[in-house]
Amino acid sequence: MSLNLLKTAKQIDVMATNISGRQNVHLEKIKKAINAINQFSIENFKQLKNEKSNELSFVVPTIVEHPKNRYSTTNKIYEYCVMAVDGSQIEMDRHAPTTCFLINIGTCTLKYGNAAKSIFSSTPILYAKNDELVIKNELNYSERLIEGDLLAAKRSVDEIKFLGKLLKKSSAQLPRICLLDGSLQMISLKGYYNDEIVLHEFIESGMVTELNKIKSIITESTNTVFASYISYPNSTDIINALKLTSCQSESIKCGRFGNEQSCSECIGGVLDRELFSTILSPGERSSVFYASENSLSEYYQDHRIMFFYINVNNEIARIEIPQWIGENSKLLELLHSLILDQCAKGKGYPVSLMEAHEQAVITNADRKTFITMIEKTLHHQNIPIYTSMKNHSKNLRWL
Amino acid sequence: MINKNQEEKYPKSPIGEVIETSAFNLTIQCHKLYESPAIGSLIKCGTETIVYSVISNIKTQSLDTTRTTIALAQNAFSVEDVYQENPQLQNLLSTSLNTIVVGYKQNTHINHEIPSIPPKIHDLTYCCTLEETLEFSQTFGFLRILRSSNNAHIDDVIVSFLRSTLGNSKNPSQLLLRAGQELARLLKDDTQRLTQILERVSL
Amino acid sequence: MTMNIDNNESSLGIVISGSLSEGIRVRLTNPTTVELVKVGTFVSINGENLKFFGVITDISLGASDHNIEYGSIESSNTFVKEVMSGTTTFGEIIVHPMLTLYNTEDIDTAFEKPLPAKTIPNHFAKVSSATEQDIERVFGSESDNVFWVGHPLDMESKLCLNIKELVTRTNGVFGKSGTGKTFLTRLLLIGILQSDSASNLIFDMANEYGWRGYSENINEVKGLKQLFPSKVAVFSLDETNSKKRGLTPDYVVKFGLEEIEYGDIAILKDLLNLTDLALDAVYVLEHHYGRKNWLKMFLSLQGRDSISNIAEKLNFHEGTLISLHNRLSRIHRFNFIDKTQSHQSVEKILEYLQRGIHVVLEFGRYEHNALAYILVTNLITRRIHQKYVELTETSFTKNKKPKPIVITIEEAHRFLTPSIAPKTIFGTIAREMRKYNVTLLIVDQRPSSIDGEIMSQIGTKFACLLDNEKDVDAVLTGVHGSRKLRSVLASLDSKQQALIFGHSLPMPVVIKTREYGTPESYRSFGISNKQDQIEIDREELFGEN
Repeated sequence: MSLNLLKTAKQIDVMATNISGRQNVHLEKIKKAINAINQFSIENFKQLKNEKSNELSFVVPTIVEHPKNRYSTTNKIYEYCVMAVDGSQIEMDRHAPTTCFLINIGTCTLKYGNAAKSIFSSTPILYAKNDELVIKNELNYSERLIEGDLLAAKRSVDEIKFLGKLLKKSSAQLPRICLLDGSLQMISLKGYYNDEIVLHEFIESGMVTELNKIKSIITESTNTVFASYISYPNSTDIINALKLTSCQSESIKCGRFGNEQSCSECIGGVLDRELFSTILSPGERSSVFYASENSLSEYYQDHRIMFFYINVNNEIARIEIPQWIGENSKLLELLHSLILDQCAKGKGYPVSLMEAHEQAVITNADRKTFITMIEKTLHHQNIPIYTSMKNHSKNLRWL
Repeated sequence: MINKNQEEKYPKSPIGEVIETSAFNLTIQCHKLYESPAIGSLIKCGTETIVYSVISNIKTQSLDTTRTTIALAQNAFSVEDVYQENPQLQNLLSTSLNTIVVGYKQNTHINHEIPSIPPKIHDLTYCCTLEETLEFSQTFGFLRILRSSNNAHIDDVIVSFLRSTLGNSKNPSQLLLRAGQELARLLKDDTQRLTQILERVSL
Repeated sequence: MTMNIDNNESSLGIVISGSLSEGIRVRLTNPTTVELVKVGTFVSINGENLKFFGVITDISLGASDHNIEYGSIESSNTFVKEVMSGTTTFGEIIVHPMLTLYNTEDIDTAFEKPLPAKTIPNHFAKVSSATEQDIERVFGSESDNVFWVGHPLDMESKLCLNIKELVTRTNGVFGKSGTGKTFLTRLLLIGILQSDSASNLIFDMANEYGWRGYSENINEVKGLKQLFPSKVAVFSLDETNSKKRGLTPDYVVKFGLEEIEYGDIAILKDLLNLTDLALDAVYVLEHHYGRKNWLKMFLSLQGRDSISNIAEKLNFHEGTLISLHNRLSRIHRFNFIDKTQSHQSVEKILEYLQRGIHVVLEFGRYEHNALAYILVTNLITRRIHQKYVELTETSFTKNKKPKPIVITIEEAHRFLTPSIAPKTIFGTIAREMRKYNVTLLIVDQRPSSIDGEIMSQIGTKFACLLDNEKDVDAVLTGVHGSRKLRSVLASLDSKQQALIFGHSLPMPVVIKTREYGTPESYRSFGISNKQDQIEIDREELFGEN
């Protein structure tokens, strides 16, 4: 017997009643958040941030423009080129006959206009060599296997690497937009904030190197933008800032689901997108903010991450960009209209990212085939295959 | 229909390649979206043994069977607009042909029977020129294979073949008459069906 | 596809089934030929070892799909029809195999005579229209004894009859009036004449054979005398009439009363409406007065009393004799009956015939007088036969057979009805065949009235169109495969066509009778006398009048 669905169903029922109760409270909180943003003042915020930043249990962004500002664009671009990259991976499996992992990068280039065309690619990269599988610390000879969060970081680096290559190959004649899926901030590395080797490997020599390349290309042209697209974001940067200004409690400790010491104005648990969905009309974007500083920020050098929210098809998406884009209003305008166009074409999600994802995706069947291929190949080369008994029992479900 | 343009276009470059093969039916994926010869056209593939087959169906669909195509033309002025607005469709959609194997050629000798070994996957496929089609249609034994294929619309395929291919020959009436007589022999106990085919061929 | 055009031109179809008794079913390969194929056409079938000759006896339409028969398929589309004809829909013919030959190119066997078909060809044997060579091989080619009577249906080749073989039996020409019996008979007579295998005695009831006759469209055609003046003698019963028609008869025939016997009266029983009792009286009278004088004496009786006397004497009812007297007086009134003296007419005829001169006896004004015709015909024939019996019997010792005679009689059913045939000389002649070198050529339009036994004795039958069922039956009685021939016979053209079958032919065949009546046709008999030449020249100069 696998999952006991009967027992699960009962628990789901209980959960549902909880949700409906919580829903009303949450709606109240959103109203309070709206109230808070209406009374928000940048000066006040700056002051409070300076005063309290050290005692805060959360980080707050840098706000240089009022968060209630809205921008719309009438600029419609018909001829442009979009390049999007997405990736997926097959994790290292301890039970597998050999240790390796695979990253599959999907790319999608779409050219609109007279010579409309599309180029897709799907490139799998198998990492199996010993020095590819670990991050070595030369100082104390310790090793970290690349798996879990590290693999996610590795993938992000590979993705931006591919995007850079695409951009380099593309012609600068048309407006260009390069898109990544997910955050530019390698938040998966948060847990490694004190592991210098890891952060250097992935951020400095990985992400930042690629960002440098992209930056150099973009600064040469006047009509190329680069962004990372986060659909349905759970970020709370702006809410955090509002908490700072509106919380009545001495120590601001309200989390997502509130806590016992919550004050009357508590907005803990509200998401940025919930707030911005009440502010932004379809097609509008918010003002641009500097992402909240964290332990990784310093590694980004001059690629400080900025972000804004945008209403696409009545849904709020978060766009993350390096500061050299976010601080250039012309590029922002271009980015704004191209993101809107991509989302319009993709029914609410950038069509290019969707196709890149389709190229990158690894299905369960693919995963199984991948293992079988490895086994077959090893077998052909007369390499003995050892696999764990646990794995063996999974394959052979005996009675 | 083999018109001059296509005649110039197809023999030189392959129209596609075999992606599903069997002794009786082939599936051919076109190299270019929507660029396929018409239903009823004779196509060939293979190098040593040239296998001839007749296009029985043309399908254009999502390459990924798990992804359904959706309407995109609500705000477009024409279908061309849709394709220009959505260049990815060129990669996501593909045109494929189902064909019925009707014969093969070995050492310049054409046989109207199933080849003993079917073509290979990825065999390049070419559209036969009018001359090649007429060479193949010197006799009409292959109509037997067509007729006995378990395709519900085989009659339409036969009509298309006869009308478009033979109809474009220099002396169509003679060829069509002979083809018709072969059909009449094959359908000697189903005159209704025969009549319907013939009436449409003669239009 | 290799196709020999030359071979295929006459190709009709292939054998698909059949039996010897029911005929062979042949599917026509060329669908368009259905309307061109005719019943009665002579065809050959190339079997594996044998070549078969036969006649088309039936034509039908077939379809591979029953829906066509139910009429549920309908298409006005010409292409559809074109394709279906010959494949889905097709013509079928039934061929009745008649003869076989070894299918060989070998010279030795190539000249072998065909044998009656005792088997049938294989499936898919090829069937074609007979070629000229086929016709010659089966029927022979034109020569002294072989006479060209016409063409096989729709063919150019000449169909020939072996006349020598023909005249050994009694033959018959049948057909309803206007179908060309006389023309065909005339041809046969010329054939006999030219082959010199027998002498003709023609009882020319309608004066058509001797000097001239008329074709259907009142065009005059030449009689035998005009064509062969030195070989033909015209005897006439009525000199004045003959002269009126521009002919001086070679001999004027007259008979004495004493030449008439009981048998001559018996055959007239129906015509004179005599009772059996009256015939008995004739018989008794003949005894009473003697064979030579009975009629003279009886007819010379004048007045009721004298007849009553003789009636009483011979124990007959008075009334019987009175009515007999009354009726026999009709004979008395014929001009060719000489009441006073006897004549040598029959001897004269015999003399001519023995010399090889063909005799046409014209009836002149009696041309439609059945009484005169039957009386004279019977009278003459009986006596000629009598003479021939004598001659033949003596010839055994002298080793010289008399010249065979063919006696042509028209309206033959009058002599050969079942009731009188056994008693008359014609019945005798028909039955004894050539024993005494006398045979008949029966010309008749009502064969059903002829005694069945006589019909079965007829060697070769020439049947023109007959539309009376009974007549058709009568002609075909006792013929092998008669059922098949029926349809052939019934579908003959009403003119110039005849189905010939019987003794002198290896197999039945439909012919288009040879042309007769045009200058070319006369020339084809090898005649070119001055008179003809003048006519031909005139025609060539001025065209046909």
